[in-house]
Amino acid sequence: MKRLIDQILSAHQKEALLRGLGREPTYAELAMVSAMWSEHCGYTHSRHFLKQLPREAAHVLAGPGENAGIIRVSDDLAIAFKIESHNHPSAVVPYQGAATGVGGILRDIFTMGAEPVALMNSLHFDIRAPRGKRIAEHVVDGIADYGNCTGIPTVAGEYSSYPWYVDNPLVNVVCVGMLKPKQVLKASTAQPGDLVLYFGNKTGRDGTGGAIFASLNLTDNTREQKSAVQVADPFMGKLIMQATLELIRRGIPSAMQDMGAAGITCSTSEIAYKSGLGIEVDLDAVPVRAPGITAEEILLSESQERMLATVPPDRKHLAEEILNRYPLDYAWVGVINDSFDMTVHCDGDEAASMPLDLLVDGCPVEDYSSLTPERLREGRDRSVDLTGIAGLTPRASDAVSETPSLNDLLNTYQNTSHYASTRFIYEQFDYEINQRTIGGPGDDHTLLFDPESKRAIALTVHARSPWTLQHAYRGTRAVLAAAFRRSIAAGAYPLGLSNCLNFPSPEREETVIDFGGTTLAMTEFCNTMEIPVTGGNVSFYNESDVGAIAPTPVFVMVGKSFLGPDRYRYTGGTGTLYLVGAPRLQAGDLYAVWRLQRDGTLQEAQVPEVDFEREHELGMALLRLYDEHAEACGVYDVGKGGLFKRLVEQFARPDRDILLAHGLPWRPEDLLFGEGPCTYLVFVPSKSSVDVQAHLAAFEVAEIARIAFGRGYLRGDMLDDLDLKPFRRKADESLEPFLSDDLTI
Amino acid sequence: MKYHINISVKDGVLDPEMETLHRLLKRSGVKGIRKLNHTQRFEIDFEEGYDEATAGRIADAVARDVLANPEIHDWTIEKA
Repeated sequence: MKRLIDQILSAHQKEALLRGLGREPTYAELAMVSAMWSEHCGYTHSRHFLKQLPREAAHVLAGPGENAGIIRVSDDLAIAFKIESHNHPSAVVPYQGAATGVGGILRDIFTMGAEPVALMNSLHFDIRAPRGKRIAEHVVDGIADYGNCTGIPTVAGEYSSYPWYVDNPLVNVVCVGMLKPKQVLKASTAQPGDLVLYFGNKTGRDGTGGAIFASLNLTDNTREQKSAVQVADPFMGKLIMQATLELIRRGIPSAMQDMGAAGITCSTSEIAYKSGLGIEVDLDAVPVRAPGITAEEILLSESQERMLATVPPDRKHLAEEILNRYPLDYAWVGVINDSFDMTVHCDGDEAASMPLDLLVDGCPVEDYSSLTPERLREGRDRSVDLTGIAGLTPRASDAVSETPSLNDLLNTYQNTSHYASTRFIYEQFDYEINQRTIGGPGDDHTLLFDPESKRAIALTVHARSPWTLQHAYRGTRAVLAAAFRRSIAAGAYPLGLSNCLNFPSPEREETVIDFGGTTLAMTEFCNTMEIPVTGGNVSFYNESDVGAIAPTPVFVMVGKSFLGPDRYRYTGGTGTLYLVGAPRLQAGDLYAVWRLQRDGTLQEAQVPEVDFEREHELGMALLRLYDEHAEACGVYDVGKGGLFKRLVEQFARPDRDILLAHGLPWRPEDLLFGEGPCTYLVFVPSKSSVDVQAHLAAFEVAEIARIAFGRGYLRGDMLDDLDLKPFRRKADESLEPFLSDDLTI
Repeated sequence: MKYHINISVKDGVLDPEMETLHRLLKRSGVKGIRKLNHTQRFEIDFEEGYDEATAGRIADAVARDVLANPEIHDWTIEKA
């Protein structure tokens, strides 16, 4: 035991445990503590920063700490949403890892009483490497299969390919659910005397220790840890979803929690602790799949598709009646009491008995108060020094300051996977099930329409690792502003922010500085914009033998949109394009891609400096424009791939020319491929009389182009006539050519 | 020359198909089953003129790289 405890816990943790217990722990207690105090559940390195995030707002019905965040949109509609990572499992077994990730995020949503209506994802690979390519394909399949089997459409996806994801793909999945505000069920409302109900799949050895596993670096050795992989069972997931929603609709459970990381241990202890009570668990009653499974294995198992609920004794028969009907395996595995302790019985003996506050909240967390906001804002400028980042081999180049020509940029644009259509990803997913989607993946805006309440919900998911790699604090500010602009372009002021913070090992100080910088940027954004953080997920240790990933915070924003099914969409007419803001090439994504490919560094690349107040004012002005003229004009954010990508994807037609105005104050490289703060594109069709410049009088607005009859060219005095048709074809062609793989045996 | 490749789910890894079948049997009144396993058998018939070593190596590669998922499956290869 002595050796085991030293292996599992740090000296710090061991001391805290021995002091809290006043004795040596039992094996079962050590197993429970090892899971609950792991980075994954205990947030040892992140809690200091996360607790500073603003999370209060009148419309937040459930915030961080619950299974998912819930915001009230109107009296009859609330939205539950959450993002979660499944990076490590996906690196080991991509298909199952991604599929179980979807299963897990769905459970987080319906556990709260919300019906899952949409999935989104943020996927990051290095598809130039054969291994990365294979991971990408299997991850996409895993997500598609689980979503399609359960009937939840994937409505939007984001994808990037950079060398730092070569061994550590990021698989972040978002689920969005709808419910009536009064239906919200939390994990914190159990009552003394309530019975503890377990239902769903049996408990097996799969994923044993998975939560701890997620906190280990990936080495060749861990790639061999095969028992740590869970297998998804989407049809069981669907059954559980329906049964859970029926149980909640009929008011049977008093509290609910899904079994995710650290399975039974985490769900039972948290439901009791959050309710301010105690719990007694009988492991002999837990349905098991593997003969000879031990108490510790049951406590740590991460078998998928399992749920935990508390049910008042007088409703026990109602719960059984429903579960028998589906039919689902279930068992009564314990009782809630008012002891503030967790007691576990196994083989008739007491295997564990410890105070819940010690188990759930007693993990010693790192204190980083020496890292002041000033220090975090300063951060580390890494545009030159990229030591330790995976896949980068900076080439000594005397000509690094050389700037790319327009042709270089067009070639890079055409020959990287970044700006190909993500159709490869979403076409495998059913994205129109239930007919709630307006637009869809690949369409510029992702809107969900709720026919019952007649409201449209705008969804945004966004990450920009070249920015956050260069400077975590300034980069995160830029990502947040970019995501905000996407939400505004979709007609919505964000009502809530969820996040998935993907970082390397927090045991190195630079990661901590980066992480602190990111959370500081989030705090500033949320305070200025008055947008609460409603939940999130931290994934550390995204690194392997070949190096670390770039810090990659992924943000999800949800808002109530002004746009409905009758919103304006460009279908091929003539009109005028206005550009708001001043893009700069070096701040754009394409410049980073070009520089990485050419020199293996990010030298000279820039992070746009954003001013949240200014972004807010402009956002509000554009929403007023939409409010008055949603059917008569279109607003687009100028994001990845710059203005050029928007022109190609939205406006290029074989029978139209885009005619750039004379005397524009930009170089074509900046105009077409740059990015910057407060940049949007606004299109006004000829027949409409909307005066954009009057609406946005306080901002830099320029009439940059007209769309007229023609032959599919971009023309102007700043560049030679450019045929857009090949670019358009490429945009439609999607990712497949980049993924085609020759099987070699 | 024929080779057989037998692929089964590793011990301890969830097999949703077998779990579903097990539930169905239980519901239909079949009692006494502790666990169900299944094995998939592939038969590879080689063209004339392949020596055993080459054929065996190909069968091995096909099993490992194409038919089985080494993270989830066990497999055996036997010459028929």
